[in-house]
Amino acid sequence: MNQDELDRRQKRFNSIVLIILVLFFGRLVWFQIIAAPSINAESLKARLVEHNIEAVRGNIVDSEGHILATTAFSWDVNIDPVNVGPVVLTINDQKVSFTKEQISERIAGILRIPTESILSKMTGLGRYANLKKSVSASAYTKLKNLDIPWIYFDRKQSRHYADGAVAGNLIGFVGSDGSALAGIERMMNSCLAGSDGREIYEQGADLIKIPSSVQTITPVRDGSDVVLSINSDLQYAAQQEMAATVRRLKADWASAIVIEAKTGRILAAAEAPSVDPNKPGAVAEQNRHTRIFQSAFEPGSILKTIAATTAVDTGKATPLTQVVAPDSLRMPWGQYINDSEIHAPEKLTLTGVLSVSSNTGLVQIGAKVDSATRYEYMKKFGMGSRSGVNFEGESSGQLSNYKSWDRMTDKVVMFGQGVSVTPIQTAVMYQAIANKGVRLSPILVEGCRDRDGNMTRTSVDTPVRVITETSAAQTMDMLERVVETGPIGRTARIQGYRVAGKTGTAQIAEGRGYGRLHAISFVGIAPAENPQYIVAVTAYKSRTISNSLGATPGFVSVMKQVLKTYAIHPSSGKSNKLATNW
Amino acid sequence: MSVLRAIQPIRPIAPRRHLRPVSSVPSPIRRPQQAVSTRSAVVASTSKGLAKKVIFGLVSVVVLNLLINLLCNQSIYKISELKRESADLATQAQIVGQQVDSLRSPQNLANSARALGMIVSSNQVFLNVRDGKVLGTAIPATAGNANSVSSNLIANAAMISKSDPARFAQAKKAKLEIPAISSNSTSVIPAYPSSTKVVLPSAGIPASPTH
Repeated sequence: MNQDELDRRQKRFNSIVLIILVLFFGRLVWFQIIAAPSINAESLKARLVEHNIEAVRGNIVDSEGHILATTAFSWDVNIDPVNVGPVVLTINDQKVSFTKEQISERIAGILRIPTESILSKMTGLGRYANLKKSVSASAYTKLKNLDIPWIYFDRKQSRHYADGAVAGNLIGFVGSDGSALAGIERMMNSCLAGSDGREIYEQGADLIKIPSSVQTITPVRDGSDVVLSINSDLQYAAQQEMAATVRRLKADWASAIVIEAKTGRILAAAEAPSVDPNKPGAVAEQNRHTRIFQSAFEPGSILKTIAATTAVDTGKATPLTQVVAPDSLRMPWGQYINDSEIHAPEKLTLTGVLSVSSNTGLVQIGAKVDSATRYEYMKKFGMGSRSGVNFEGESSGQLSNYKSWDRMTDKVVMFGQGVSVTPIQTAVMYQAIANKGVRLSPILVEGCRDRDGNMTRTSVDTPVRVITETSAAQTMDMLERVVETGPIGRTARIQGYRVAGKTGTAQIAEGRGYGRLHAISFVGIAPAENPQYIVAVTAYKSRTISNSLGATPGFVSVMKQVLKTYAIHPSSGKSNKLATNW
Repeated sequence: MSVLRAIQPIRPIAPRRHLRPVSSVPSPIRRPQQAVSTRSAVVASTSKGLAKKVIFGLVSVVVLNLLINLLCNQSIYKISELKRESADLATQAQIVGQQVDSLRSPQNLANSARALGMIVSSNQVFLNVRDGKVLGTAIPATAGNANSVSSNLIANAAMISKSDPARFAQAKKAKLEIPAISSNSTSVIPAYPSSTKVVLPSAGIPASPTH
């Protein structure tokens, strides 16, 4: 082989190597440059995970910051039936094998469900069977510690109401899917809910999230807190009292409202039966609402105060205006207005009329004011319109225009028939009297407070001057005499304090007439010399006591608790001792 | 460029096999090569040094990258483990928090107060600490006017823990040792020893923040 041949071979070899290298290089360029974007995209697609970040629902807190509703976590417990088998557990450092029947018993004990239901779900070739939904953190931890390979959990948000039914009817509740169904939960959902976020990140084959790869698409915004005006300790005490009242009176329901006279803040809105938002299904459907805002009924004698103060404010009467009140008064058109009991004609002042709650006496004095004016005053006191809280499903009660009143309605509206009001409307009317004649929009929700502590206060209606300050003071004097001298009113006395108030016993409309049972009530204000708190108690369809004697013990108990809670000193001074008779 | 470098070493090997006298055949090609030999040698030596540095730099970058990746990977697993631990602790905190909520719930407190035989004060009396004036009339509780705390009537499905009334007996036995004031002491301030022993009940109503 000569040199030339060798050189040729050398060149050929070099060329082949060069071609191979060029091919490799070409392939390299193909992968690294030309096809790189699509390869990278495909790879990224396999690694990328888009994840929804659930916003945490805000809390509902009382006026003292005590949490009434919060968000906790619960777990759905699921099994993978196709992989179900014996389990080896470590007990006292020893490995113990359990058959699936034995382990089912353990699971049943933790979840408090029948073993049979677990065993029935273990059969089949499916990959999913739910054993129980929304189990507590405690049960979840116990199950997780068993380390059963074919059990897995789905964590989800759930609402936790630490005080149970305390303010339950106000707070409302959410469904199993977290949707707000009733009460503040629903009414203030836009404040509480927040908005979910979205992020994408890369994860490894072992499902580990690569931190540097996280990209936020939409930032999560957790829900804000709703701040209520309610004092939960007072609310509990009032609810206890109302529950006891319902038992004592065998009533359908009872309610107690506490309002701060000078601010309109609702400090307690208790009712019984009440709903525990943790378990709303445990009570009948009609007990899951808020009757204080949603139930309107004829108020009865509670409205006499409004007729009396209207007469005083219009100058048609004074607290000492005299009237002879028979037990039955014949109207010019032949119908009768009766008092609740038979009695000889009584010489009463307007104060006395309120003290003994005389229908016949009131009608005579009240009629001095024309219908249109009385109607206007009733409207100014808040009748016929919603309270201003605008609670969901709130009733505005019923107040038809005076032009549609017939001759009898024109008279009976003065003592609370032919119109209907909600318990909150009743309380607000007395708030106006206690607040020197100015009606305030009641406040239940103070506002919405975000996570940074910024509070957006709930807007309130403009205060309404209903009666003059003098008329309000005169009305307070009359109401104080109701408690000092009234046959039922005196049962609302509280030792050491001057109390003003009015009884109410209302017939309940049934069909075209009235039923046998009554709505009994008492609304009181204390201390009378410097009105600060209004407590309005109502018991609906009392079956043991048919007049306000059934309501005053509840009033006394709740008002005492109010005075204790807010450290109101015993009263000084005495009432004006207005004459009740002449 | 790398291809050419790979081929270059082949050239000097092939002529050596034939051992031909090369001096008699002066290569016209070599002359110009020799003519530039000093300059190209300097350039080559500089290039070599640069190449070494570049290669060393690249290798260092690769090694450093590997090390950082290794550390990052370890951190990722550590983060993942810590997140799991944090979730477990959050679950524990939720359990304990709910137990505390249960114990301080008004329902539990009412039942505990009743079990302790507590009564509702019939009327409140205030003491003004500034002037020592008593506001209100104190009325002692008697069998006639004392209303015991009513047992709880308000439902609470979230009450997972309750105070155990059976343990309240221990609370009654609790002793608070208050040291006597020495009779010959000149100070009106009682000299409490630093080791004042307060025996508190081990069980009973747990202290709850007032709300």
